[in-house]
Amino acid sequence: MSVAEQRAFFKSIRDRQFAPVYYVHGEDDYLKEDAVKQLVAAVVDPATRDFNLEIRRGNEIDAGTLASLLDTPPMMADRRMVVVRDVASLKKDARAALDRYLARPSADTVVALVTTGEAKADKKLESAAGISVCFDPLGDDRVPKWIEHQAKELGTTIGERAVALLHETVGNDLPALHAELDKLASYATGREIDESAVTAIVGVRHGETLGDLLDAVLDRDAARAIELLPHVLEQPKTNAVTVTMALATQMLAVAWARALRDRGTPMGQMYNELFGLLKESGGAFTGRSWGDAVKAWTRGVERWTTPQLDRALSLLLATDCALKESRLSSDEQALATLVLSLCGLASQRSAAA
Amino acid sequence: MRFTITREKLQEGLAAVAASIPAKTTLPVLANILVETTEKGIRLSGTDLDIAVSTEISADVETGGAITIPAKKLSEIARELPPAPVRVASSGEQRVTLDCGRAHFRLLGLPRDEFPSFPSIKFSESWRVRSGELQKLISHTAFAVSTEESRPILNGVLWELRPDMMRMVATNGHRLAKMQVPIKSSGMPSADLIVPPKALEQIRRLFPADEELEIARGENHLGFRSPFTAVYTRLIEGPYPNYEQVIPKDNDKVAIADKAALTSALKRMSVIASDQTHRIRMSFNAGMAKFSVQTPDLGDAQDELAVRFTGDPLDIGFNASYLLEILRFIPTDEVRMTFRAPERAATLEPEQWSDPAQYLCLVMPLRLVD
Repeated sequence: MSVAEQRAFFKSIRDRQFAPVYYVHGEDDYLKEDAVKQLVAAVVDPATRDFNLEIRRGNEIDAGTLASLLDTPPMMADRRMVVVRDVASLKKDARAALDRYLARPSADTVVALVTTGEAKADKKLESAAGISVCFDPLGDDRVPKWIEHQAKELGTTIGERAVALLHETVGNDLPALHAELDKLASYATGREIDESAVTAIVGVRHGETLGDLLDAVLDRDAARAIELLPHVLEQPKTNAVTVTMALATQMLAVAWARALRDRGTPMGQMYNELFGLLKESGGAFTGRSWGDAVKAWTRGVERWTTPQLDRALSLLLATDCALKESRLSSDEQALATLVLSLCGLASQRSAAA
Repeated sequence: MRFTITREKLQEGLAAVAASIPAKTTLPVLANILVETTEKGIRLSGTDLDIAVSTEISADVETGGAITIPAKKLSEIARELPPAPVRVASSGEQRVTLDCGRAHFRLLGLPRDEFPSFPSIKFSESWRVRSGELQKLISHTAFAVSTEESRPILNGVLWELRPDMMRMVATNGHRLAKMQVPIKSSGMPSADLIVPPKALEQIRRLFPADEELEIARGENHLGFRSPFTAVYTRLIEGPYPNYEQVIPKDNDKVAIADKAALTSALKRMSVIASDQTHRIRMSFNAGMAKFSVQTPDLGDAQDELAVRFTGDPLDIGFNASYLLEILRFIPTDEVRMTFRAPERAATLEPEQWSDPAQYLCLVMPLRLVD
């Protein structure tokens, strides 16, 4: 993702110096959608919006309609806007009509060509567009700033610790974060959103997150893990299966790092190795930010032996299977047993030592 | 339930209701027609949940009752019946028999209770409008509605009811049609209603031009009623865009042309125009309109037409299909077109129309490629 591209995109909106054609691509649909919304709001006069805004999907528009949309001047307004979503799915003749237009775009029409999902960037469209902008998922380092910015957009501010708590709880899921911020803004009614507001609305307190539970298990602190469990299970989008998934990811990562260590990889390299693993895996559910997860896993490498990790993974598999069987009477009970067993494995090691 | 009806009356009633029956539905009872006996005969009703049509026809009723019968099969049977009275009888809630001459049919229906109830609309407070006036508005405007689902408001026709006039407006963002007719003051309050064109088509089709209709509004529905037939439709919610803002008031170039000759010239140019954009060029100067079209890989064509033109010469591009469509609805022999600039909306109006109605269409030009 190019920050410079995004700056140019938003500058054109701020300065109202619109490019005739925008190519909006990248893997984060939420960010792309938000960017196009901002562009539409700036380009189209609200009074004649119904007459001067056309939003179509690539696979639903034929060549003739597209050519007509692109060649129609604005109706009693300075500008008109045509948004083509999922532009990669344009049929051949429609794409040809688009290419003909791109060779000589009109000055009073703004065209936004938007990709869907993980579609690869189209080099031809990239070079034909006045502004090409990529929106890939935000990394951990950018999400806190994004939260602050969204809070501002909602007419409020949010404290640093509240940002951290919200990020830790919800993760990098931008639509979910936006939904929580929306609720928090209503709750705060003009005041700064603080940690207590996040606790009240999102239902989580510092020290009671899924990340804290994962740390407690990794640190073999059975009492703390058991104490945290009911609080964690009460949190939104959290249940016994998601907790098991996060524990499994953690134990697999630590086992993988343990194997590296046993083969002589220095501890100094471990953080980068684990981060690389996460990047490769793509969608692994870590239960917290990648940075926090990798830090914790690096710390755990020296605390867990290979046999203990093998046993831990077997226990996790058994719990996962049990959770998916309907005859289980209490998910929390199954998790508590798992957590105690995992912590107990470490105690056995301590006792043996 | 038991009644006897003429084949013609049955066919007439079914034809009125059939258009409101959905071709495909996940709710089986919607594929059926509700048949109920009344004091004067029978009432047939059908609905797709957006539009409901109900009509009463005369019949000799022996025993009262109600049942729903598969609409498609009933219509097919009615079409093929011999010219003889039709005896219809139901047994229980689901079985119905039809006898006509020596033909005998047994059909499986659905209980009346499963049929959805019609919207609750009080006709005690209603507008009264002559059906012919309404039909005129509908037939001159509804063609211009948008079929694009992303803008549901433009999928409807705006119907403005005022104490002394009513007006309909439809647009798809590229063309717009507006017509208003004076009406006698009804004492009813003004209203702006956005009506699906499918419902308006039923109104146009079902009510004779000289009939006076009662029109009343429910919470989110509109009802039209004559002594024998009623149509209910869901209204489209939301404010209609300010169409007056896009109708040009300062067009300073005027061309008056013979409608038939203009139509012919446009049709000739359309043959060579691009299949995709149907783009043609029109060049106006004193006394003449020149048409030209150039399509790569196909060829070119030119034509000329004598017109009465005032204003500076103008070259402008149009989608010929849009112009031809509008010309179909211009009610006079001559059409008056106004322009401002090649990138500004043009208007088309009837020339020398003696009707008290006012009619205006707007069409957006297409950019000229060269």
